[in-house]
Amino acid sequence: MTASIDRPTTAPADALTPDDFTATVAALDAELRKLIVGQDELVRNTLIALLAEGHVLLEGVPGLGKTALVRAVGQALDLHFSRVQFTPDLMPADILGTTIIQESEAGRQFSFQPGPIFANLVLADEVNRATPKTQSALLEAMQERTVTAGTRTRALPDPFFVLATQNPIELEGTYPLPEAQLDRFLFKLLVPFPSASELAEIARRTTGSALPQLTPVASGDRVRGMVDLARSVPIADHVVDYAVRLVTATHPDRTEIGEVRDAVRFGASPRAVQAMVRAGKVRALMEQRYNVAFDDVRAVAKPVLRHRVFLSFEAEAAGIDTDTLVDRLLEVVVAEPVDH
Amino acid sequence: MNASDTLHRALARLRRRALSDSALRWLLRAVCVCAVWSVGVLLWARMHPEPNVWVWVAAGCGVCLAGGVVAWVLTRPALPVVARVVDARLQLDERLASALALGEVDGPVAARLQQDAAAHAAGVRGGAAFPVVRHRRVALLAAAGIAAVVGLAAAPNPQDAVLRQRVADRAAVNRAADAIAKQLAQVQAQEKKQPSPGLEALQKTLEQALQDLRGAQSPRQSLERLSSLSDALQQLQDPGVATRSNAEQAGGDALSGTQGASKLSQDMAAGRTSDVARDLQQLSGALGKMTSAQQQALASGLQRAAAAAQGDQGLSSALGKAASALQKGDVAGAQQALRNGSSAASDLNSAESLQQQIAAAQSAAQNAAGGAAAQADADSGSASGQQNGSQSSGTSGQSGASGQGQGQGQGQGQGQGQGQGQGQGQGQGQGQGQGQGQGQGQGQGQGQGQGQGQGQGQGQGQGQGQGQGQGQGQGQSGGSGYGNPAQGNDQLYVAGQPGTPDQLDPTPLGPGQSVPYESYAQVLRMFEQESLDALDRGDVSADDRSLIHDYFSQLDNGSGQ
Repeated sequence: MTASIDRPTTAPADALTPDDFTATVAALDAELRKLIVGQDELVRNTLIALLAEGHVLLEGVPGLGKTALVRAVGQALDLHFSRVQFTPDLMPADILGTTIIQESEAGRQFSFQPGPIFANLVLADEVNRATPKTQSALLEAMQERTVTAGTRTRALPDPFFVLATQNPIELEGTYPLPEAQLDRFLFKLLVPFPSASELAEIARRTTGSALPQLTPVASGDRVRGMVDLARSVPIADHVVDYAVRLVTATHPDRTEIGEVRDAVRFGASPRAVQAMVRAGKVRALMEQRYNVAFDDVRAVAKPVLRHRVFLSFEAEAAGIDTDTLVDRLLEVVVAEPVDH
Repeated sequence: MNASDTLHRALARLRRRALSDSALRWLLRAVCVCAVWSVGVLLWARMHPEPNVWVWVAAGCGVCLAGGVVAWVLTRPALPVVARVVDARLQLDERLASALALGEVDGPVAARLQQDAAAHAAGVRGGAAFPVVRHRRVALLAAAGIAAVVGLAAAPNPQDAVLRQRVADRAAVNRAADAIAKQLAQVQAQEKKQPSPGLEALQKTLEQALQDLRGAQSPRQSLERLSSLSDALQQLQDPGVATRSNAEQAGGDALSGTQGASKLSQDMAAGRTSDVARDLQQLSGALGKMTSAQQQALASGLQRAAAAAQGDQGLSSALGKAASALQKGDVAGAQQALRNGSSAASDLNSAESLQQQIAAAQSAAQNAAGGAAAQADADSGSASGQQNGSQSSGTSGQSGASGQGQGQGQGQGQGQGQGQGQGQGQGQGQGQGQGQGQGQGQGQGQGQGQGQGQGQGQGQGQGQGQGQGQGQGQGQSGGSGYGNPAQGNDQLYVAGQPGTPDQLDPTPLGPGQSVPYESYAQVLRMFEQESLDALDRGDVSADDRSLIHDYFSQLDNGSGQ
């Protein structure tokens, strides 16, 4: 049984220039600011992940605007948006779609009814509430951007982004995402609690007679072009080497850093290097640069590594978190050894 | 010019600056290492006498600087490295290195990167990317190191005195060797003109002595080897030559007044041996022309001369045979006998010449020994001057200990020294001369010798000298051969009070040996007094008192021996 791939064609973005890129990002950011108060780093990293063709896992307590952010992104990008509320009784077919019998003039025939996964932007809300079986339904979609149902493999729309949310404080009735599933996410972003002034601004904007209305600033083709442009940003070998050294340093059996050797059970996978480079390229263009710098790698290191480095039980019991470890890595691993 | 060319041109300019910066960095590092090396060598030279300290310093610094040059050559930064360094130092976010690595690639981003990097590189000053101030810390270290070297070089070095002494020692040894070499050259010249077994032996002796002297490490060693040379020269001397010369002179005196032999008698009496040989040849030739009466008169004179010259068997026999032949009218026999006498005179002449060479060599050896001894004394004085306090001479209880030994034992004794002297006698006939010889005692020993010489004008004699030697058991140049074991009348010392100034032994003792000494006789006297006083106070029977009094009386008698 051979699976075929149907991939929708997208318009080429030959005419897109770096200036167009930065202008679109600026417009997108401004549009999101209409609804999202504060959360500058969160918004920025979300955009980086989207333009790097990555999926994002948003983690935060309820009410911080995770869902609002994803919906706002969907509105601002003029993309086909769908939302899946993950619950324990959610089945894979509820996400991927199913084959149904349809009556037609030719008689009854089976036809595939696409699930909510067939969208450019999918919000997997409270993803850790679904069972592992349902969570696993996302694996192929997130990595291969295809869905296999029956004997056919169907391509998902391009661009395709999954933005999942999860609540870190509710453990009962949840199913932690397995490591393989976590590795599919480009970034894991922590949604911080807003400051007092931001809270006040949130109250003002959302309790009036009318909610802010977002205007789409970029089409799917435009996003596709921006993604392609970001991929063309060059990166020097010594910058790639820095990313490699950072990822290698997360492995307890390959590092000289004592904290890592003591606290880490498993280090980051090779996808972490890919994620750093891809995200670094997007960030470089956002910074109006045309090459990836060490700073770009450093800036995306935490969201890339925090869900890929698995701590030992002792370290978790001691209250060590991955962000602290990544800070230590960035401190110890020298970016430019030539100048030392 | 496109952006890529602009970038390469700017990077080439920065690379030149980077090379200069690298050269400065390695130079400063090399200077630091040089300073550390120099300080180490100078500190070492303060603890150990090192004559070539600056050679070591220069060699080490040369190696360090050469190493710096090699390191600079090996670590010259390539263009990509320069780009990375400039990126890092000027926060250019890897623009230059990325653009350089990317090269000329088509695409909007690549083109913008080239333009962006070229614009940034063009604005970079070399001094900003490679500032001299970055080397401030190493430069301060280098300056501190240089200051330390200068300070150590300027400060007085206590080892300089030791080095000066070594130089003086070496000079003294060389002077002694040169003196013997000069004498050897004279002997060699003489040996070429007139080879003889005696001269050959003398030459070998001097050659061996010269070789030994060249290898001497100290004036004391030089002195010992010169002493050995003197002994060897003395063995080469032939005491019979003087007797023969005296006999010849006596024969000349006896022959005086003899008609036809006046010149012969004068030359013989004057000791002109070479002329005597010729005179005898001439007399042999003139015999045929003499009348019978003249021959008889000559025979009579020759008979007296033969009798007077008994000390020289060859000459006496020849003269006697000539006299007998003349008395018998055998002119041919007399001529043959006189020719034999001429040969004997020639032999004596050669022997005298050899003895003169030996005497000259001995004189040179003595002069050289004088210089070496002076330097050895100076060394000893210098060494003792470095000791704190003074030590009195004494013995650790061994009477008559030999001057040669190991350990700390010290002995004092009289030794038999040997001396040679040259004397000059005056007058005819027998002359006596006195010469002063120098005996050698170990260490501070001095000997005096008196010599007797016979001869005319210049006499040679062998003298005997009494020498006093102080034997010291420490050191390589022990008193073997110079100081004899102490005799029974030697003074003994025990620990106590410091000795009198004449008892002070200038020889430095070892660490912990600086203890005062007191005469045993003095201690014995005090012990005796204390004992007798206690005896008077105690409840001791009369017999016992008498016995103890007798014991001390015997001790007094014994110590007086």
